[in-house]
Amino acid sequence: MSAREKEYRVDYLARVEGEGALYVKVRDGEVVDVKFRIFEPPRLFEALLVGRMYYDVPDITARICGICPVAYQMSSVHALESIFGVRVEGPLRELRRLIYCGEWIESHILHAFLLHAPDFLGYADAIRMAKDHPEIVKTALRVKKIGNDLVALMGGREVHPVSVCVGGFYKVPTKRRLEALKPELKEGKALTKTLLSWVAELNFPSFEQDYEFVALSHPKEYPMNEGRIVSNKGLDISIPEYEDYFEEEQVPHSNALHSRIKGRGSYMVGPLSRINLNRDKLADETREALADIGFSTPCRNPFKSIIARVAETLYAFEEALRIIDEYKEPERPRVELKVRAGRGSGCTEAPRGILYHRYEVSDDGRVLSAKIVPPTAQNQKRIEEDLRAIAPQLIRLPRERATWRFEQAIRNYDPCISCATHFLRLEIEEE
Amino acid sequence: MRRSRRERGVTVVCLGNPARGDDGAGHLVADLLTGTPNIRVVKAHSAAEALHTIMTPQEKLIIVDAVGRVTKVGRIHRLRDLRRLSSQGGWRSSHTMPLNEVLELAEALGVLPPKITIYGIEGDCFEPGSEMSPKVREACRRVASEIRRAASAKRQKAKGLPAKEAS
Repeated sequence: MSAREKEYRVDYLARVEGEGALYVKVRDGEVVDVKFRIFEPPRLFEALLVGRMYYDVPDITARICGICPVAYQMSSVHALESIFGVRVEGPLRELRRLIYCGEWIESHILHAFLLHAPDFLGYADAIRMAKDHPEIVKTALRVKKIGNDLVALMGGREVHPVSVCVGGFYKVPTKRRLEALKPELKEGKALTKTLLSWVAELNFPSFEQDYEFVALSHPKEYPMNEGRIVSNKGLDISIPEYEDYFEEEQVPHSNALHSRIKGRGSYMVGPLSRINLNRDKLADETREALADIGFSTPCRNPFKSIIARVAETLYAFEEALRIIDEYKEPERPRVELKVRAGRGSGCTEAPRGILYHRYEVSDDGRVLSAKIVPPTAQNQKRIEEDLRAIAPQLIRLPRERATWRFEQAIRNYDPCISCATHFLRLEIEEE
Repeated sequence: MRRSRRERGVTVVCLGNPARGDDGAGHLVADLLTGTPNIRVVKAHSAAEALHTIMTPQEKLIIVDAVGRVTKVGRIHRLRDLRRLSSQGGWRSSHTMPLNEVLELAEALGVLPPKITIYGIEGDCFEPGSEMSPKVREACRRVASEIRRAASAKRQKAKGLPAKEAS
């Protein structure tokens, strides 16, 4: 390396889920190379699913991630139900949103306060931060616990819940059991308002990009399980059209595929995209809280994704309370379905963004092929572009500080690297 | 009537994965202790999963887990000084927060129990699907018995009674 060149290298990213690395090369003050390298070994879930029965798919895909298993279950059941011609409506539909609320709460708060917030305050990790800000960390852990309790009540356990199935649930809660959780949910809602005010006061680097934000959009609700796929640049497609507009490519430096919009390029998924595209669908208290802290949309500063995460946590509490108040126990925990051959897709809003599943099954319900596109893989290209765009600012800083800021820029996206590395396409070249 | 501090029980957090041979040691101890008066038993796959239990203010906390083989299979290590817990490096992932950092977080938040004992049972084979080693299984019985005796002695002392003789 010559005197004109500088390299910033983090061989093992901290405070992200999974194994990733970062490499930035600068020459004469210009960024010449940026790599967000995911070296977590591929986990080959798409291949694992082939030959399995359809009813195994939700529980197998849930194992892709311990933080967002519900998202995998939801995208998979919606995809399979589209093949069997089934729509889940009424109380069962509401219960699906309810368990998703639990997951959003625990995932968002874990990331916002234990992985991301330390960056803004100059701490190496949450432990160091906890020594100086014990009440905030305790509050965050308490809110996370309430989210975990909701998932456990709905799903049978906190991690890899076991109640979700094609057509509905194996077992649904009684009204009484859900009502018993309301005091905790109200407590969680109040605590989250405190947390939202706190994150709004953080120091945010000045950085904006002209993102294409992509999220689901539904005419009547803040999107979780259903809707069309839209963007701020005119995209408006049904879920089955996903593969007509999005494509994946393998890159040499990563075990996770990069996604792009055909003919356009990178895009962003996740809480910031959702709020930018669906702010009017948030519940009242969340909309008021965002107005109180002066959060304006569209927000193009990815560092403010932490605000979006905590705001969505507040929304999740409001939505959970609404669902419980209106809940009427269904006659049956799941709808009848008639297994048939076919191909179908599902797309739901994981905490980190849209999660797309597509399956083909045989006439007896056996999986013939599977495609899973997680949000972190979709954000990868955008992450690298952010690093390239922010590099001119950061290379003027002392190396250690600059490296930390590069890492922080990656953590804006709350990457879940284990989710992203489920696939490897193998090519054998024979000479 | 307000519970007196001396009557508070013990929480035993048992970590591990029973599907991976000797890594099931913690859960076996949990099974052996379940139903013992005044002992609250919690099973978890990792310290991160048991975060909330460990953070809950309590009088005494016991943690049981398998450890990699250092001396001999089935050897029982008892740690009361947390500084002796080896560091596995910085906290990198929400999936794999190591035990020492969970305890460090609890200490930073001022909720670390005043009394903690960590039992580490040396294992041999941690391969998925493997059986638990007989020596690890025996060590689990000894650990459970020790915890049970200590809890019983504490109860007797709280009642102002002499400790029961070991049977």
